[in-house]
Amino acid sequence: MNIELGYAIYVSLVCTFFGWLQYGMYGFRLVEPIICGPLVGLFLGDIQKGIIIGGTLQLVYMGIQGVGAAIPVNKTTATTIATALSIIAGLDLTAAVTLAVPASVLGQVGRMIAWTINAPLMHVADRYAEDAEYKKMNRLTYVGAFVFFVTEFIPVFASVYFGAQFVTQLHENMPVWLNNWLTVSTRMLPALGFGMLFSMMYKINYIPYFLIGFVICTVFGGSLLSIAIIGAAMAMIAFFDSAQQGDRRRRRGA
Amino acid sequence: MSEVLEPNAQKERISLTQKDLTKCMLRFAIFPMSTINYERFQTLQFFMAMSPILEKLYSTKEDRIAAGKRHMAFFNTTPEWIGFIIGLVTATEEQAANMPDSDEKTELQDSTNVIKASLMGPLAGIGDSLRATADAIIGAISAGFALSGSILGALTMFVLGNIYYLGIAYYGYFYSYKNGMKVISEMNKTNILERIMHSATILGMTALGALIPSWVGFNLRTNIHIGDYVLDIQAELDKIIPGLAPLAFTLFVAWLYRKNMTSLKLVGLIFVLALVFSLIGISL
Repeated sequence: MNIELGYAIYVSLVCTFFGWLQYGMYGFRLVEPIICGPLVGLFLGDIQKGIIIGGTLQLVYMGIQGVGAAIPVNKTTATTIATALSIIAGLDLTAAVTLAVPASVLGQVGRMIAWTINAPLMHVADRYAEDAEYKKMNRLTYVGAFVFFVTEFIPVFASVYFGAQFVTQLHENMPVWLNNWLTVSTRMLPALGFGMLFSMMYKINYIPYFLIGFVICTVFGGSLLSIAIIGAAMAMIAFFDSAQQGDRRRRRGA
Repeated sequence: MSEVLEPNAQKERISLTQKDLTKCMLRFAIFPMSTINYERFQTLQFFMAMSPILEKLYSTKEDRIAAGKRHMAFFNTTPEWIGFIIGLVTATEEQAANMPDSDEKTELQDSTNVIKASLMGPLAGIGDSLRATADAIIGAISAGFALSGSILGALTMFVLGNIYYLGIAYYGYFYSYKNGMKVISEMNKTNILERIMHSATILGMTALGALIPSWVGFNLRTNIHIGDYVLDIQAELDKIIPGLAPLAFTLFVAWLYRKNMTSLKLVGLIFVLALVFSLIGISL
């Protein structure tokens, strides 16, 4: 299947817009996979697929987020490209999720370039500051946002325009072993996000809570929401307890 | 010899209105990242959020130049926690703008950069971890809806995610603006950040204990034939405790991550392992 240039541009613009939101308009959290999946689906005529792919990628990329100055592998670009290509080429979920991996790296590279290009803006702003030209300084926001749009659009367009044909061909002749492989990896990938989260929060003191959550889920079959509430209850106990200890210490000191 | 831009604004006490504050809050909450870069990160967006306030507080060109330079100093933190810092800076600038010119005034103005520098690191450390924990819980609950094909997942994420993000941005900003510098001494006295972090980790760890067996698909569904005896590995493992295999696998990944393996390498490793498992047919 050859994708028409006009349609490719439309698809890329839709994908780029949602990827761009992460930097251009950070508020409102529309860049979460679970949200931008259905939104991309809405524009390309298959919301259902967007919901499922978005939900799956939300789990896969859970815990993978920017810490400090590091730019994380990009979950938004992963979602937009995976959703778009799987709608265009009629892929199933597993293939779409696999596609998301190279897309996420591509999105990351685009952003690293934007972070570099935007550095000289600081010096332009410094020069405007010498003359108290606040309006001009503020206008640089648009420049920065535009840079993020361009660096997002180029890799997205390349993947949509050149990727669609490749992906369609691959999908039509997908051998069984490859399909099995992708299915298994999709099921295993959430371990990465959870593993990263675990090592971030790990401290031996917290293991009891981890075990409580684990056992209530596996042995007693508690729902996620009920376990979150139990967790919140224990968190509140710890919080109020530490407040009292602080009070006691202060009173003794006084 | 300062050039007066708005002569009428002189001498009277300048106080910020709710409208000014809300404008600043919306600016930093919606556009914190638009010019982010490797040199000074969120600096320009911090200035952009502050600029309507600075314009109102300082009417002379000299003051505006000084303020512009002051707020082009390095700044970066977790976006929703910018509010906490910018609220303190707003309060300090307002106080300074209403003082007569003196060394004390300059000192107070310069202290805004000390506020930024001393708070942005700790707040980023706590902010990033809190965000990861909140996102994991909200994301997993939402994903549960989404995977059954319901749009409710997206809505849950949107509503809860924004309550978290905009909630911290809004309350952080107005709380620290109203209470001013005593927020910092209060913070040190009550140890509030550490306590929040401790409680959030308890919640996060409890949820994580449930998330791993729910979402990590790593089951050893295979039968090994030994003569007439058929050994079903997964059934045997389930007799010990269900969910043991996903738990072991996730902890293995966590351990590798602690050993400084990058996330990209780990993705590669998972794909390689998945290939091996799918070929010998032991996991699905």
